[in-house]
Amino acid sequence: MNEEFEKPPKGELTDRPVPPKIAKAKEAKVAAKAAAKAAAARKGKTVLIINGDNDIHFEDDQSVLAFTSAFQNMGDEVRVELAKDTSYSTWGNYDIVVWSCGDDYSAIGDVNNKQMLVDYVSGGGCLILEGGNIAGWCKEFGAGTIPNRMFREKVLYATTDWVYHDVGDLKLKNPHPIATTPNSLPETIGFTPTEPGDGSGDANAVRILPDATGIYNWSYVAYNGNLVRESVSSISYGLIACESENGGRIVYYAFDIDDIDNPDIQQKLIQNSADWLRKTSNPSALIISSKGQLVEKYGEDGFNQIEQKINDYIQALNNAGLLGNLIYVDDENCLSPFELNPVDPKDANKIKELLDDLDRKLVPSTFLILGGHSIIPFHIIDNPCGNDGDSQVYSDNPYASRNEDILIPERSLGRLPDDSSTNVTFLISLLETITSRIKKAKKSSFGLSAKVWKEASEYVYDAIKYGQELKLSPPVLSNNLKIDWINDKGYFYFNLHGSEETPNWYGQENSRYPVAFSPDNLANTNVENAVICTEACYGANIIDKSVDEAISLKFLERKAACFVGSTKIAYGPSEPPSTDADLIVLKFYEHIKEGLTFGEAFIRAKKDFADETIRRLGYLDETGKKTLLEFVMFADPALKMEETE
Amino acid sequence: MTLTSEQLNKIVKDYIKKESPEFKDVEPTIRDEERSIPQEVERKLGLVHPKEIPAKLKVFTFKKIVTAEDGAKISIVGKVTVDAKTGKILKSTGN
Repeated sequence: MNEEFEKPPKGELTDRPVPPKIAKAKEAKVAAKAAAKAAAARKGKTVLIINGDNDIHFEDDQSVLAFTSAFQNMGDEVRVELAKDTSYSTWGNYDIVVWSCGDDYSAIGDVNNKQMLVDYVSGGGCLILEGGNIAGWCKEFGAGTIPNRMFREKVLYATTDWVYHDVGDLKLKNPHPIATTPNSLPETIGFTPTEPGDGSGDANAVRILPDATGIYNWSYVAYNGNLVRESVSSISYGLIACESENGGRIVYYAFDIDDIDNPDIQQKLIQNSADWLRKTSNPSALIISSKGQLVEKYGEDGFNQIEQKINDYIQALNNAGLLGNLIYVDDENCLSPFELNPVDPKDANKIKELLDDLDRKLVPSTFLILGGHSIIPFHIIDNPCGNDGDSQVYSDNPYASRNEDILIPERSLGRLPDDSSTNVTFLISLLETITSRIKKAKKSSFGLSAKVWKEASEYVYDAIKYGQELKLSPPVLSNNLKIDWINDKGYFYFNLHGSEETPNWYGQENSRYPVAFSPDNLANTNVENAVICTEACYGANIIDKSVDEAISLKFLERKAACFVGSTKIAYGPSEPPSTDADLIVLKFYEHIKEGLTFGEAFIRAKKDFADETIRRLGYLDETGKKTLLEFVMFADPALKMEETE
Repeated sequence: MTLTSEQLNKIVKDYIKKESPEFKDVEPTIRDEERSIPQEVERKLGLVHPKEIPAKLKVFTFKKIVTAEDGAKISIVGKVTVDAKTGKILKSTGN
């Protein structure tokens, strides 16, 4: 397909030639031992392999054989159908569908095929799509008609950028279970097209949408013998995985599987892909805490009470179809089944490493940290804008990130904090709150802003405004705030000053800073199931705070469902457009209104925030970086808001 | 022609006097802005060709401590990002 397209954009190519590739004989090893081991553990799985490799011009159609033997060696029942004969109505009978194109492109050659694949993934199906020649049409046709665009966005997760065909070996780029579980794949996977440079499309180097994970890219990417620039080749992938919003999963091999040099690696890659795909049927929640820290703080009796409530919570998760896994990071009994070792519960870096390992082994859909800083510590990170008075930022971003880049997390993660007292009452009440899985709240809102930020705040508040206008402080003060304004409201928005010294939030008019909101304002209110976002500095600072010393904890004590705020000084503009804290809160609420879970809305808010900041400024500035780090969420990430009238 | 430090100072101070008068008597600290998009952020956002950015940026930080009506000390900060060559205000933010 190469010759069908124009040259790649100027600026993507270098003048450096492709390095000589050492010819590699394809090894004849069979993965019998590994496959037999896997087979014993995986009885009763059914797989449909659709043979879409029909091009008579390319004598290279071993892909279906590779898939068939890999699945059969795992003990799976396999059915093979030709693409032209397959019936979508039967796909639901299989737990995995494989559409194997080899170096053909049948999946995109027919509008019905595209539509079947879109419907299957959108409906929660698990798909392996294999083809070295599929993404090539993205730039030309992938933005055109609705079926084409849907297929590109919902199945391939590819952008409309240029796709290259001349590639080297597969190179591991990002950690992912498909690279590690159950088989550890090598960092470099030897890959040799049937006839290198023949234009038959044995591989694609494809750029992907943000929702997808590029697992392997290529050791080089070239066009007409010249290397493509590193900035392009480093984000042009060969092995891609993605989970759709409704649980559908796709693994996309942008290459012909039988052109992987080592048949053993072919088998292991298929095994790992199947393993990851099948975990979708049992979405799970990982609950992280520290047994030692809980016992030290609350005593054995208190710990036992907490653990009982955790068990109730896990039962409620199970009833909702979510498998709950409780892991104490310092408890060998919890970790040994996963061949992992306990870590120091005061060492945030070690806990993150453990979380990364657990993510690879369990592939949980959500992560809940149980406890405040004294149980599972926040990460303490140097402040990107270090001259504002905060030397460091407290953040959960590293826990929520799959790698060392922590600005844009990928994990759906929240924290259920405890307070400073040694009485278990508060933490137990929070566990009881999340054990109730339905979070219905009224379609009603309360917003309060410092008067000086009126225009900027109104712009954000519009996202959740139901009836009641944004209140301004002054004239609204803590001691004249009417309980009716906040009682039974579903959405809360605050844009006020905060202090490290007191629990209060403050308004502003000129040089006057009156108390606008305090924990006492929540004393006799019903805020059950409410979602709260605050831009107040230190609005989510809970370290060594009792319930009466932090508005965030007070909201949670009153059974609010979700609290989002900043652990340190937070920034914002005085007028639209929204930036910094205004922007992250706006984006969070937009996604909550779309019906996403709290965890998913929080991830997307940060991603959107970075995207929009870079689009507007051309880079991620220091207050933008700080905002991404310092905003934390206190909520069960698997829950979502359900509006009632 | 690049503006002198004095010219930039005047532009930003005039701006802050108008937009955030609480900082009108505060002497700002100035530092060059790190104009970068971490590679991993580019990857996560699917960026390839970031928008062209000004050659040189400076961030003016105005900081003071105020006393709230309940006696609490509040640290207030204003930051103005400016194109050092043209004096154009690119961003103004505060807490």
